[in-house]
Amino acid sequence: MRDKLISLSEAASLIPSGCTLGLGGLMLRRHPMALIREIIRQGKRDLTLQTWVGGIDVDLLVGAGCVRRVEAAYEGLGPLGAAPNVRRAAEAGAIELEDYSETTMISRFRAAAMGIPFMPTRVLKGTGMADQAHVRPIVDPFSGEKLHAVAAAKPDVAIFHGYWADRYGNIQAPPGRNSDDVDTTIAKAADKVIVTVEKIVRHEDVMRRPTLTYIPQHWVTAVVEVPTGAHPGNCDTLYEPDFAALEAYLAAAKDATGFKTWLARHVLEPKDNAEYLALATTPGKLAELRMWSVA
Amino acid sequence: MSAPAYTINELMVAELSRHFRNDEIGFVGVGTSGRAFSLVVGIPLAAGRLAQLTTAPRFDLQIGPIIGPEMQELPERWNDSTVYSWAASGLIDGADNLDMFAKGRVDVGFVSGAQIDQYGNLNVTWIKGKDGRRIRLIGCLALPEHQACAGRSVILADLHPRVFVSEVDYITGVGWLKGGRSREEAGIHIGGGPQLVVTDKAIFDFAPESRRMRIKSLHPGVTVDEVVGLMGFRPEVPEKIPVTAPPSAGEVDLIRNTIDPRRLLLAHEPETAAKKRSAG
Repeated sequence: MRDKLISLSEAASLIPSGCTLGLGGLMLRRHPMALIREIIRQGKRDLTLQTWVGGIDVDLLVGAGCVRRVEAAYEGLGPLGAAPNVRRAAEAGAIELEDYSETTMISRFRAAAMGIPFMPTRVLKGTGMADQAHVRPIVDPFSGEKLHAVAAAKPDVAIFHGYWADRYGNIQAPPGRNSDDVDTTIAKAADKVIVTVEKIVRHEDVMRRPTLTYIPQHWVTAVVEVPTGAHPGNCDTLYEPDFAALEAYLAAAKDATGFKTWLARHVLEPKDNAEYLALATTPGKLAELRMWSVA
Repeated sequence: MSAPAYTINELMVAELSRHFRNDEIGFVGVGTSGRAFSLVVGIPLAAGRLAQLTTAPRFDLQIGPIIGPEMQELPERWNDSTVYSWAASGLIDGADNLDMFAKGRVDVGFVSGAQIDQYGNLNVTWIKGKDGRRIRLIGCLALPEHQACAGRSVILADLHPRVFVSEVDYITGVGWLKGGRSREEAGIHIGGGPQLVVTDKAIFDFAPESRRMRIKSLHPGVTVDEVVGLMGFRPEVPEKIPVTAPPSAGEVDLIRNTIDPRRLLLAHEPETAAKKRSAG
Protein backbone atom coordinates (compact mmCIF):
# COMPACT_ATOMS: atom_id res chain seq x y z
CA MET A 1 0.00 0.00 0.00
CA ARG A 2 1.26 3.41 -0.99
CA ASP A 3 0.56 6.60 0.92
CA LYS A 4 -1.58 8.58 -1.55
CA LEU A 5 -2.45 11.58 0.56
CA ILE A 6 -1.43 14.77 -1.25
CA SER A 7 -2.39 18.45 -1.24
CA LEU A 8 -5.06 20.05 -3.40
CA SER A 9 -2.44 21.88 -5.44
CA GLU A 10 -0.43 18.67 -5.97
CA ALA A 11 -3.64 16.94 -7.06
CA ALA A 12 -4.46 19.60 -9.64
CA SER A 13 -0.90 19.41 -10.98
CA LEU A 14 -1.60 15.76 -11.95
CA ILE A 15 -4.13 17.04 -14.48
CA PRO A 16 -2.41 18.33 -17.63
CA SER A 17 -3.96 20.86 -20.01
CA GLY A 18 -5.45 19.13 -23.03
CA CYS A 19 -6.33 15.95 -21.15
CA THR A 20 -9.66 14.16 -20.91
CA LEU A 21 -11.05 14.74 -17.44
CA GLY A 22 -13.77 12.54 -15.96
CA LEU A 23 -16.07 14.12 -13.37
CA GLY A 24 -18.10 12.41 -10.65
CA GLY A 25 -21.26 13.53 -8.90
CA LEU A 26 -24.64 14.51 -10.31
CA MET A 27 -26.25 17.95 -10.93
CA LEU A 28 -25.52 19.70 -7.61
CA ARG A 29 -24.42 16.64 -5.66
CA ARG A 30 -20.93 15.55 -4.64
CA HIS A 31 -18.80 17.21 -7.31
CA PRO A 32 -15.12 17.80 -6.38
CA MET A 33 -15.64 21.58 -6.41
CA ALA A 34 -12.58 22.53 -4.34
CA LEU A 35 -10.33 20.60 -6.72
CA ILE A 36 -12.11 22.17 -9.69
CA ARG A 37 -11.39 25.63 -8.25
CA GLU A 38 -7.72 24.65 -7.91
CA ILE A 39 -7.65 23.37 -11.52
CA ILE A 40 -8.92 26.81 -12.56
CA ARG A 41 -6.31 28.58 -10.40
CA GLN A 42 -3.59 26.55 -12.08
CA GLY A 43 -4.80 27.76 -15.48
CA LYS A 44 -5.54 24.41 -17.12
CA ARG A 45 -6.83 24.72 -20.69
CA ASP A 46 -8.37 22.65 -23.50
CA LEU A 47 -9.86 19.99 -21.24
CA THR A 48 -12.32 17.47 -22.61
CA LEU A 49 -14.84 16.77 -19.88
CA GLN A 50 -16.58 13.42 -19.68
CA THR A 51 -19.33 13.03 -17.11
CA TRP A 52 -22.78 11.56 -16.68
CA VAL A 53 -25.17 14.23 -15.44
CA GLY A 54 -23.10 17.39 -15.22
CA GLY A 55 -23.92 20.41 -13.10
CA ILE A 56 -22.16 23.23 -11.30
CA ASP A 57 -18.83 21.42 -11.87
CA VAL A 58 -19.06 21.57 -15.67
CA ASP A 59 -20.49 25.08 -15.66
CA LEU A 60 -17.69 26.51 -13.52
CA LEU A 61 -14.91 24.88 -15.58
CA VAL A 62 -16.50 26.10 -18.82
CA GLY A 63 -17.04 29.60 -17.41
CA ALA A 64 -13.38 29.77 -16.40
CA GLY A 65 -12.29 28.96 -19.95
CA CYS A 66 -10.68 25.61 -19.11
CA VAL A 67 -12.78 23.51 -21.47
CA ARG A 68 -12.69 22.68 -25.16
CA ARG A 69 -15.32 19.97 -25.22
CA VAL A 70 -18.00 18.33 -23.04
CA GLU A 71 -19.43 14.83 -23.45
CA ALA A 72 -22.40 14.20 -21.13
CA ALA A 73 -26.10 13.41 -20.80
CA TYR A 74 -26.90 16.80 -19.24
CA GLU A 75 -25.40 20.11 -18.23
CA GLY A 76 -27.63 22.06 -15.88
CA LEU A 77 -28.31 23.02 -12.32
CA GLY A 78 -31.29 20.74 -11.71
CA PRO A 79 -33.93 22.65 -9.73
CA LEU A 80 -32.14 25.96 -10.48
CA GLY A 81 -32.42 25.59 -14.25
CA ALA A 82 -29.92 25.92 -17.09
CA ALA A 83 -26.12 26.04 -16.79
CA PRO A 84 -25.45 29.66 -17.84
CA ASN A 85 -21.78 29.40 -18.79
CA VAL A 86 -22.24 26.17 -20.75
CA ARG A 87 -25.12 27.71 -22.62
CA ARG A 88 -23.21 30.90 -23.46
CA ALA A 89 -20.04 29.08 -24.54
CA ALA A 90 -21.94 26.50 -26.59
CA GLU A 91 -24.00 29.12 -28.41
CA ALA A 92 -20.87 31.16 -29.16
CA GLY A 93 -19.12 28.05 -30.50
CA ALA A 94 -16.41 28.39 -27.84
CA ILE A 95 -16.88 24.77 -26.72
CA GLU A 96 -18.01 21.60 -28.46
CA LEU A 97 -20.79 19.54 -26.95
CA GLU A 98 -21.44 15.90 -27.55
CA ASP A 99 -24.77 14.71 -26.16
CA TYR A 100 -25.65 11.28 -24.88
CA SER A 101 -28.69 9.81 -23.23
CA GLU A 102 -28.24 8.61 -19.66
CA THR A 103 -27.83 4.95 -20.60
CA THR A 104 -25.53 5.60 -23.55
CA MET A 105 -23.14 7.75 -21.50
CA ILE A 106 -23.06 4.98 -18.90
CA SER A 107 -22.38 2.50 -21.72
CA ARG A 108 -19.39 4.57 -22.82
CA PHE A 109 -17.90 4.48 -19.32
CA ARG A 110 -18.73 0.79 -18.94
CA ALA A 111 -16.87 -0.05 -22.14
CA ALA A 112 -13.76 1.70 -20.83
CA ALA A 113 -14.20 0.06 -17.43
CA MET A 114 -14.26 -3.38 -19.08
CA GLY A 115 -11.34 -2.60 -21.37
CA ILE A 116 -13.40 -2.97 -24.55
CA PRO A 117 -13.62 -0.39 -27.35
CA PHE A 118 -17.35 0.24 -27.50
CA MET A 119 -20.78 -0.85 -26.34
CA PRO A 120 -23.81 -1.49 -28.53
CA THR A 121 -27.05 0.38 -27.82
CA ARG A 122 -30.60 0.45 -29.14
CA VAL A 123 -31.48 3.79 -27.63
CA LEU A 124 -30.09 6.23 -30.22
CA LYS A 125 -32.07 5.11 -33.27
CA GLY A 126 -33.84 8.05 -34.88
CA THR A 127 -32.22 10.64 -32.60
CA GLY A 128 -29.91 13.55 -33.33
CA MET A 129 -27.24 11.89 -31.19
CA ALA A 130 -26.72 9.09 -33.72
CA ASP A 131 -24.62 11.38 -35.98
CA GLN A 132 -21.93 12.25 -33.45
CA ALA A 133 -18.21 11.52 -33.54
CA HIS A 134 -18.29 8.70 -30.99
CA VAL A 135 -21.35 6.91 -32.40
CA ARG A 136 -21.37 4.53 -35.39
CA PRO A 137 -24.04 2.31 -36.92
CA ILE A 138 -23.33 -1.41 -36.45
CA VAL A 139 -25.16 -4.67 -37.05
CA ASP A 140 -25.69 -7.31 -34.38
CA PRO A 141 -23.63 -10.25 -35.74
CA PHE A 142 -26.11 -12.72 -34.20
CA SER A 143 -29.52 -11.34 -35.13
CA GLY A 144 -28.74 -8.82 -37.86
CA GLU A 145 -30.45 -6.04 -35.89
CA LYS A 146 -29.22 -2.53 -36.68
CA LEU A 147 -27.70 -0.94 -33.59
CA HIS A 148 -25.33 1.87 -32.70
CA ALA A 149 -21.89 1.50 -31.17
CA VAL A 150 -20.87 4.13 -28.65
CA ALA A 151 -17.12 4.50 -28.16
CA ALA A 152 -15.50 3.84 -24.79
CA ALA A 153 -15.12 6.99 -22.67
CA LYS A 154 -11.78 6.60 -20.95
CA PRO A 155 -10.76 9.68 -18.98
CA ASP A 156 -7.02 10.30 -18.56
CA VAL A 157 -7.87 11.42 -15.05
CA ALA A 158 -11.21 11.25 -13.23
CA ILE A 159 -11.96 13.32 -10.14
CA PHE A 160 -14.54 12.72 -7.43
CA HIS A 161 -15.64 14.00 -4.07
CA GLY A 162 -16.21 11.35 -1.40
CA TYR A 163 -16.98 11.15 2.30
CA TRP A 164 -13.94 9.79 4.09
CA ALA A 165 -10.87 7.72 3.22
CA ASP A 166 -7.62 6.43 4.62
CA ARG A 167 -4.23 7.63 3.32
CA TYR A 168 -4.11 4.64 0.96
CA GLY A 169 -7.14 5.80 -1.02
CA ASN A 170 -9.91 3.55 0.26
CA ILE A 171 -12.93 5.78 -0.20
CA GLN A 172 -15.86 5.03 2.09
CA ALA A 173 -19.46 6.18 2.26
CA PRO A 174 -22.10 6.03 4.96
CA PRO A 175 -24.79 3.35 4.48
CA GLY A 176 -27.28 6.08 3.58
CA ARG A 177 -25.26 7.21 0.58
CA ASN A 178 -27.35 8.18 -2.40
CA SER A 179 -26.13 5.84 -5.14
CA ASP A 180 -27.90 7.71 -7.93
CA ASP A 181 -24.61 8.45 -9.64
CA VAL A 182 -22.10 6.45 -11.64
CA ASP A 183 -18.96 7.37 -9.70
CA THR A 184 -17.71 3.80 -9.38
CA THR A 185 -18.13 3.17 -13.12
CA ILE A 186 -16.32 6.40 -14.06
CA ALA A 187 -13.56 5.54 -11.56
CA LYS A 188 -13.13 2.12 -13.19
CA ALA A 189 -13.08 3.71 -16.66
CA ALA A 190 -10.31 6.24 -15.94
CA ASP A 191 -6.53 5.82 -16.14
CA LYS A 192 -5.96 7.89 -12.99
CA VAL A 193 -8.37 8.58 -10.15
CA ILE A 194 -8.18 11.49 -7.72
CA VAL A 195 -10.66 11.69 -4.86
CA THR A 196 -11.18 14.60 -2.49
CA VAL A 197 -12.83 13.60 0.78
CA GLU A 198 -14.36 15.39 3.72
CA LYS A 199 -12.03 13.66 6.13
CA ILE A 200 -8.97 11.40 6.24
CA VAL A 201 -9.43 8.68 8.85
CA ARG A 202 -7.14 6.01 10.29
CA HIS A 203 -6.57 2.92 8.16
CA GLU A 204 -7.86 0.80 11.08
CA ASP A 205 -11.20 2.62 10.91
CA VAL A 206 -11.56 1.68 7.25
CA MET A 207 -10.50 -1.91 7.93
CA ARG A 208 -13.21 -2.37 10.54
CA ARG A 209 -16.00 -1.66 8.03
CA PRO A 210 -14.73 -2.84 4.61
CA THR A 211 -18.22 -3.00 3.07
CA LEU A 212 -18.42 0.80 3.20
CA THR A 213 -15.60 1.12 0.65
CA TYR A 214 -17.01 1.99 -2.77
CA ILE A 215 -13.82 3.19 -4.49
CA PRO A 216 -10.95 0.96 -3.30
CA GLN A 217 -7.23 1.71 -3.07
CA HIS A 218 -6.38 -0.30 -6.20
CA TRP A 219 -8.24 2.18 -8.37
CA VAL A 220 -7.02 5.35 -6.71
CA THR A 221 -4.00 7.47 -7.65
CA ALA A 222 -4.32 10.19 -5.03
CA VAL A 223 -6.54 11.28 -2.18
CA VAL A 224 -6.94 14.80 -0.74
CA GLU A 225 -8.61 15.97 2.45
CA VAL A 226 -10.93 18.94 1.74
CA PRO A 227 -13.67 19.59 4.29
CA THR A 228 -16.82 21.00 2.60
CA GLY A 229 -15.11 20.24 -0.69
CA ALA A 230 -18.36 19.92 -2.66
CA HIS A 231 -19.57 23.45 -1.83
CA PRO A 232 -21.74 25.10 -3.18
CA GLY A 233 -23.17 21.70 -4.05
CA ASN A 234 -24.07 19.08 -1.47
CA CYS A 235 -22.46 15.99 -0.06
CA ASP A 236 -25.49 13.84 0.64
CA THR A 237 -25.91 12.66 4.23
CA LEU A 238 -23.37 15.33 5.39
CA TYR A 239 -24.53 18.69 4.07
CA GLU A 240 -27.19 20.23 1.83
CA PRO A 241 -26.66 22.37 -1.27
CA ASP A 242 -25.98 26.02 -0.40
CA PHE A 243 -28.79 27.56 -2.43
CA ALA A 244 -27.85 31.12 -1.39
CA ALA A 245 -24.33 30.64 -2.76
CA LEU A 246 -25.70 28.95 -5.88
CA GLU A 247 -28.13 31.82 -6.50
CA ALA A 248 -25.24 34.29 -6.12
CA TYR A 249 -23.27 32.26 -8.67
CA LEU A 250 -26.20 32.27 -11.09
CA ALA A 251 -26.74 36.01 -10.65
CA ALA A 252 -23.06 36.66 -11.41
CA ALA A 253 -23.10 34.30 -14.38
CA LYS A 254 -25.92 36.15 -16.16
CA ASP A 255 -23.31 37.81 -18.36
CA ALA A 256 -19.68 37.05 -19.15
CA THR A 257 -18.30 40.23 -17.57
CA GLY A 258 -20.14 39.70 -14.30
CA PHE A 259 -18.92 36.16 -14.18
CA LYS A 260 -15.31 37.21 -14.75
CA THR A 261 -15.48 39.47 -11.72
CA TRP A 262 -17.10 36.75 -9.60
CA LEU A 263 -14.49 34.23 -10.76
CA ALA A 264 -11.57 36.51 -9.86
CA ARG A 265 -12.97 37.20 -6.41
CA HIS A 266 -14.21 33.71 -5.48
CA VAL A 267 -11.88 31.34 -7.32
CA LEU A 268 -8.67 32.98 -8.48
CA GLU A 269 -7.90 35.13 -5.43
CA PRO A 270 -8.56 32.70 -2.52
CA LYS A 271 -5.49 30.56 -1.98
CA ASP A 272 -7.36 27.52 -0.66
CA ASN A 273 -10.81 26.12 0.06
CA ALA A 274 -11.00 27.70 3.51
CA GLU A 275 -10.45 31.18 2.04
CA TYR A 276 -13.01 30.44 -0.66
CA LEU A 277 -15.59 29.35 1.92
CA ALA A 278 -14.99 32.50 3.96
CA LEU A 279 -15.96 34.54 0.88
CA ALA A 280 -18.77 32.40 -0.49
CA THR A 281 -20.67 31.69 2.71
CA THR A 282 -20.56 32.01 6.50
CA PRO A 283 -19.83 29.51 9.28
CA GLY A 284 -23.41 30.01 10.49
CA LYS A 285 -24.81 29.17 7.08
CA LEU A 286 -22.59 26.09 6.79
CA ALA A 287 -23.79 24.94 10.20
CA GLU A 288 -27.39 25.28 9.00
CA LEU A 289 -26.61 23.12 5.96
CA ARG A 290 -25.12 20.33 8.09
CA MET A 291 -27.15 17.13 8.28
CA TRP A 292 -26.78 15.03 11.36
CA SER A 293 -29.55 12.55 10.69
CA VAL A 294 -27.44 9.84 9.08
CA ALA A 295 -24.36 8.36 10.70
CA MET B 1 -68.76 33.77 -13.32
CA SER B 2 -68.23 31.32 -10.54
CA ALA B 3 -64.86 29.57 -10.39
CA PRO B 4 -64.90 26.00 -11.69
CA ALA B 5 -64.83 23.32 -9.02
CA TYR B 6 -61.40 22.14 -10.16
CA THR B 7 -58.15 23.53 -11.50
CA ILE B 8 -56.57 22.67 -14.86
CA ASN B 9 -53.89 20.66 -13.05
CA GLU B 10 -56.57 18.65 -11.24
CA LEU B 11 -58.30 17.97 -14.56
CA MET B 12 -54.99 16.79 -16.07
CA VAL B 13 -54.33 14.58 -13.02
CA ALA B 14 -57.77 12.96 -13.12
CA GLU B 15 -57.61 12.32 -16.87
CA LEU B 16 -54.09 10.87 -16.69
CA SER B 17 -55.03 8.59 -13.79
CA ARG B 18 -57.62 6.88 -15.98
CA HIS B 19 -54.86 5.55 -18.25
CA PHE B 20 -53.05 3.53 -15.57
CA ARG B 21 -53.54 -0.19 -14.97
CA ASN B 22 -52.76 -2.56 -12.12
CA ASP B 23 -49.24 -4.01 -12.07
CA GLU B 24 -47.82 -1.37 -14.37
CA ILE B 25 -44.71 0.62 -13.43
CA GLY B 26 -44.78 4.36 -14.05
CA PHE B 27 -41.39 6.09 -14.20
CA VAL B 28 -41.10 9.74 -13.16
CA GLY B 29 -37.86 11.68 -13.65
CA VAL B 30 -36.34 14.14 -11.20
CA GLY B 31 -34.39 17.25 -12.22
CA THR B 32 -36.81 19.99 -13.20
CA SER B 33 -38.32 23.12 -11.68
CA GLY B 34 -41.30 25.45 -11.96
CA ARG B 35 -44.11 24.58 -14.37
CA ALA B 36 -41.99 21.83 -15.95
CA PHE B 37 -41.81 20.17 -12.54
CA SER B 38 -45.59 20.18 -12.19
CA LEU B 39 -45.95 18.80 -15.73
CA VAL B 40 -43.52 15.88 -15.69
CA VAL B 41 -43.21 15.16 -11.97
CA GLY B 42 -46.16 16.59 -10.04
CA ILE B 43 -49.05 15.67 -12.33
CA PRO B 44 -47.82 12.10 -13.04
CA LEU B 45 -47.19 11.44 -9.33
CA ALA B 46 -50.56 12.82 -8.30
CA ALA B 47 -52.23 10.84 -11.11
CA GLY B 48 -50.42 7.67 -10.08
CA ARG B 49 -51.51 8.12 -6.49
CA LEU B 50 -55.09 8.87 -7.56
CA ALA B 51 -55.13 5.66 -9.59
CA GLN B 52 -53.78 3.76 -6.58
CA LEU B 53 -56.63 5.16 -4.47
CA THR B 54 -59.34 4.49 -7.05
CA THR B 55 -59.08 2.38 -10.17
CA ALA B 56 -55.61 0.75 -10.06
CA PRO B 57 -54.48 0.03 -6.48
CA ARG B 58 -51.48 -1.96 -7.74
CA PHE B 59 -50.16 0.75 -10.10
CA ASP B 60 -46.52 1.13 -9.06
CA LEU B 61 -44.45 4.29 -9.14
CA GLN B 62 -40.78 4.87 -9.43
CA ILE B 63 -39.07 8.28 -9.15
CA GLY B 64 -35.72 7.99 -10.85
CA PRO B 65 -33.95 5.31 -8.77
CA ILE B 66 -36.49 5.56 -5.92
CA ILE B 67 -38.64 2.44 -6.06
CA GLY B 68 -42.18 2.56 -4.64
CA PRO B 69 -42.00 5.81 -2.64
CA GLU B 70 -44.39 6.27 0.29
CA MET B 71 -47.04 8.32 -1.45
CA GLN B 72 -49.01 8.80 1.76
CA GLU B 73 -46.26 11.07 3.01
CA LEU B 74 -44.64 13.36 0.47
CA PRO B 75 -41.32 15.01 1.34
CA GLU B 76 -41.59 18.43 2.95
CA ARG B 77 -39.74 20.12 0.12
CA TRP B 78 -38.43 18.84 -3.19
CA ASN B 79 -34.66 18.87 -2.85
CA ASP B 80 -31.84 16.39 -2.86
CA SER B 81 -31.86 15.35 0.77
CA THR B 82 -35.64 15.33 1.27
CA VAL B 83 -36.40 13.43 -1.93
CA TYR B 84 -33.60 10.94 -1.49
CA SER B 85 -34.43 10.23 2.15
CA TRP B 86 -38.09 9.68 1.33
CA ALA B 87 -39.46 6.41 2.70
CA ALA B 88 -39.44 3.92 -0.19
CA SER B 89 -39.03 0.24 -1.01
CA GLY B 90 -35.62 0.93 -2.44
CA LEU B 91 -33.17 3.51 -3.70
CA ILE B 92 -31.05 1.70 -6.22
CA ASP B 93 -27.86 2.51 -8.08
CA GLY B 94 -28.33 4.97 -10.95
CA ALA B 95 -27.00 2.59 -13.60
CA ASP B 96 -29.04 -0.39 -12.35
CA ASN B 97 -32.11 1.76 -12.55
CA LEU B 98 -31.48 2.80 -16.15
CA ASP B 99 -30.57 -0.74 -17.24
CA MET B 100 -34.12 -1.78 -16.47
CA PHE B 101 -35.43 1.16 -18.45
CA ALA B 102 -33.31 0.30 -21.51
CA LYS B 103 -34.38 -3.34 -21.22
CA GLY B 104 -38.02 -2.32 -21.55
CA ARG B 105 -39.21 -2.94 -18.00
CA VAL B 106 -40.86 0.45 -17.52
CA ASP B 107 -44.50 0.48 -18.62
CA VAL B 108 -45.14 4.19 -18.80
CA GLY B 109 -42.80 7.19 -18.85
CA PHE B 110 -43.65 10.90 -18.57
CA VAL B 111 -41.96 13.44 -20.79
CA SER B 112 -42.11 16.97 -22.11
CA GLY B 113 -40.00 19.11 -24.40
CA ALA B 114 -39.05 22.62 -25.42
CA GLN B 115 -40.31 21.48 -28.82
CA ILE B 116 -42.85 18.73 -29.50
CA ASP B 117 -43.74 17.91 -33.08
CA GLN B 118 -46.74 16.44 -34.85
CA TYR B 119 -45.25 12.93 -34.58
CA GLY B 120 -44.42 13.22 -30.90
CA ASN B 121 -40.68 13.70 -31.41
CA LEU B 122 -39.24 15.77 -28.55
CA ASN B 123 -36.37 18.22 -28.33
CA VAL B 124 -34.58 19.38 -25.18
CA THR B 125 -31.10 19.74 -26.75
CA TRP B 126 -30.78 22.53 -29.35
CA ILE B 127 -33.28 24.87 -30.98
CA LYS B 128 -32.86 27.27 -33.87
CA GLY B 129 -33.42 30.89 -32.92
CA LYS B 130 -35.17 33.40 -35.20
CA ASP B 131 -31.87 34.80 -36.50
CA GLY B 132 -30.48 31.34 -37.22
CA ARG B 133 -28.50 31.24 -33.97
CA ARG B 134 -28.62 27.96 -32.13
CA ILE B 135 -30.02 28.06 -28.61
CA ARG B 136 -28.65 25.50 -26.21
CA LEU B 137 -31.00 23.68 -23.86
CA ILE B 138 -30.15 21.06 -21.24
CA GLY B 139 -28.84 18.06 -23.20
CA CYS B 140 -30.77 14.79 -23.11
CA LEU B 141 -31.14 13.21 -19.66
CA ALA B 142 -33.17 10.00 -20.03
CA LEU B 143 -35.59 11.43 -22.58
CA PRO B 144 -34.27 9.06 -25.29
CA GLU B 145 -34.93 6.07 -23.00
CA HIS B 146 -38.45 7.27 -22.14
CA GLN B 147 -39.35 7.66 -25.79
CA ALA B 148 -37.57 4.59 -27.19
CA CYS B 149 -37.88 2.05 -24.36
CA ALA B 150 -40.92 2.71 -22.15
CA GLY B 151 -43.96 0.56 -22.89
CA ARG B 152 -45.59 3.87 -23.75
CA SER B 153 -44.77 7.48 -23.10
CA VAL B 154 -47.12 10.24 -22.08
CA ILE B 155 -46.24 13.76 -23.21
CA LEU B 156 -47.30 16.53 -20.84
CA ALA B 157 -47.16 20.17 -21.96
CA ASP B 158 -49.11 23.41 -22.13
CA LEU B 159 -50.25 24.25 -25.64
CA HIS B 160 -48.17 26.96 -27.29
CA PRO B 161 -47.21 27.41 -30.95
CA ARG B 162 -43.49 27.66 -30.07
CA VAL B 163 -43.67 24.31 -28.26
CA PHE B 164 -46.00 22.38 -30.57
CA VAL B 165 -44.07 22.69 -33.83
CA SER B 166 -44.43 20.94 -37.17
CA GLU B 167 -40.91 19.49 -36.96
CA VAL B 168 -38.46 19.61 -34.05
CA ASP B 169 -35.05 21.17 -34.73
CA TYR B 170 -33.32 18.21 -33.05
CA ILE B 171 -34.68 14.81 -32.04
CA THR B 172 -33.70 14.13 -28.43
CA GLY B 173 -36.50 11.65 -27.79
CA VAL B 174 -37.84 9.80 -30.80
CA GLY B 175 -41.61 9.61 -31.25
CA TRP B 176 -43.23 8.36 -34.43
CA LEU B 177 -40.24 9.81 -36.32
CA LYS B 178 -41.69 10.89 -39.71
CA GLY B 179 -45.04 9.21 -39.20
CA GLY B 180 -46.56 6.16 -40.85
CA ARG B 181 -44.34 3.12 -40.26
CA SER B 182 -41.09 5.12 -40.09
CA ARG B 183 -40.52 4.33 -36.38
CA GLU B 184 -40.80 0.58 -36.98
CA GLU B 185 -38.71 0.82 -40.15
CA ALA B 186 -35.94 2.56 -38.18
CA GLY B 187 -35.86 -0.53 -35.97
CA ILE B 188 -37.24 1.17 -32.86
CA HIS B 189 -39.20 -1.59 -31.25
CA ILE B 190 -38.34 -1.92 -27.56
CA GLY B 191 -41.02 0.46 -26.36
CA GLY B 192 -44.44 1.45 -27.62
CA GLY B 193 -43.71 5.13 -28.32
CA PRO B 194 -45.79 8.16 -27.37
CA GLN B 195 -49.47 7.27 -26.99
CA LEU B 196 -51.02 10.19 -25.19
CA VAL B 197 -50.50 13.95 -25.00
CA VAL B 198 -51.97 15.65 -21.95
CA THR B 199 -52.19 19.44 -22.23
CA ASP B 200 -53.89 22.34 -20.49
CA LYS B 201 -56.54 22.60 -23.25
CA ALA B 202 -57.04 19.14 -24.74
CA ILE B 203 -55.96 15.53 -24.77
CA PHE B 204 -54.38 14.06 -27.91
CA ASP B 205 -53.48 10.63 -29.14
CA PHE B 206 -51.81 9.64 -32.41
CA ALA B 207 -53.84 8.55 -35.46
CA PRO B 208 -53.14 4.87 -36.14
CA GLU B 209 -52.12 5.25 -39.82
CA SER B 210 -50.45 8.64 -40.10
CA ARG B 211 -49.16 8.61 -36.50
CA ARG B 212 -49.92 12.32 -36.41
CA MET B 213 -51.17 13.98 -33.25
CA ARG B 214 -54.96 13.84 -33.11
CA ILE B 215 -57.37 15.63 -30.79
CA LYS B 216 -58.87 13.01 -28.50
CA SER B 217 -60.92 15.26 -26.23
CA LEU B 218 -61.32 18.96 -25.51
CA HIS B 219 -61.33 20.24 -21.97
CA PRO B 220 -64.68 21.75 -20.87
CA GLY B 221 -65.27 25.10 -22.60
CA VAL B 222 -62.35 24.77 -25.04
CA THR B 223 -62.98 24.90 -28.83
CA VAL B 224 -61.14 23.25 -31.71
CA ASP B 225 -60.19 26.68 -33.06
CA GLU B 226 -58.64 27.67 -29.75
CA VAL B 227 -56.57 24.46 -29.68
CA VAL B 228 -55.45 24.71 -33.30
CA GLY B 229 -54.58 28.38 -32.78
CA LEU B 230 -52.18 27.38 -30.02
CA MET B 231 -50.29 24.88 -32.17
CA GLY B 232 -47.64 25.38 -34.85
CA PHE B 233 -49.22 22.61 -36.95
CA ARG B 234 -52.75 21.46 -37.56
CA PRO B 235 -53.41 18.26 -35.64
CA GLU B 236 -55.82 15.65 -36.94
CA VAL B 237 -59.31 16.82 -36.04
CA PRO B 238 -61.96 14.08 -35.92
CA GLU B 239 -65.54 14.99 -36.75
CA LYS B 240 -66.81 14.20 -33.30
CA ILE B 241 -64.67 15.15 -30.33
CA PRO B 242 -65.79 14.39 -26.80
CA VAL B 243 -65.26 16.68 -23.83
CA THR B 244 -62.54 15.58 -21.40
CA ALA B 245 -64.35 14.19 -18.37
CA PRO B 246 -63.71 16.67 -15.55
CA PRO B 247 -62.60 15.32 -12.20
CA SER B 248 -65.41 14.23 -9.93
CA ALA B 249 -65.97 15.96 -6.59
CA GLY B 250 -64.50 12.86 -4.96
CA GLU B 251 -61.39 12.98 -7.12
CA VAL B 252 -60.87 16.69 -6.41
CA ASP B 253 -61.27 15.99 -2.70
CA LEU B 254 -58.67 13.20 -2.86
CA ILE B 255 -56.21 15.39 -4.77
CA ARG B 256 -56.60 18.38 -2.44
CA ASN B 257 -56.90 16.68 0.90
CA THR B 258 -55.18 13.32 0.62
CA ILE B 259 -52.73 13.29 -2.28
CA ASP B 260 -51.21 16.77 -2.33
CA PRO B 261 -52.51 18.72 0.66
CA ARG B 262 -49.51 21.08 0.74
CA ARG B 263 -49.60 21.69 -3.02
CA LEU B 264 -46.08 20.39 -3.43
CA LEU B 265 -46.87 18.48 -6.63
CA LEU B 266 -49.34 20.87 -8.22
CA ALA B 267 -47.81 24.20 -7.18
CA HIS B 268 -47.62 25.58 -10.70
CA GLU B 269 -50.74 25.91 -12.86
CA PRO B 270 -50.39 26.61 -16.61
CA GLU B 271 -48.91 30.07 -17.14
CA THR B 272 -51.77 31.37 -19.23
CA ALA B 273 -54.25 30.53 -16.50
CA ALA B 274 -52.06 32.21 -13.89
CA LYS B 275 -51.77 35.34 -16.04
CA LYS B 276 -55.52 35.43 -16.59
CA ARG B 277 -56.10 35.17 -12.86
CA SER B 278 -53.72 38.00 -12.04
CA ALA B 279 -55.25 40.16 -14.78
CA GLY B 280 -58.80 39.57 -13.70
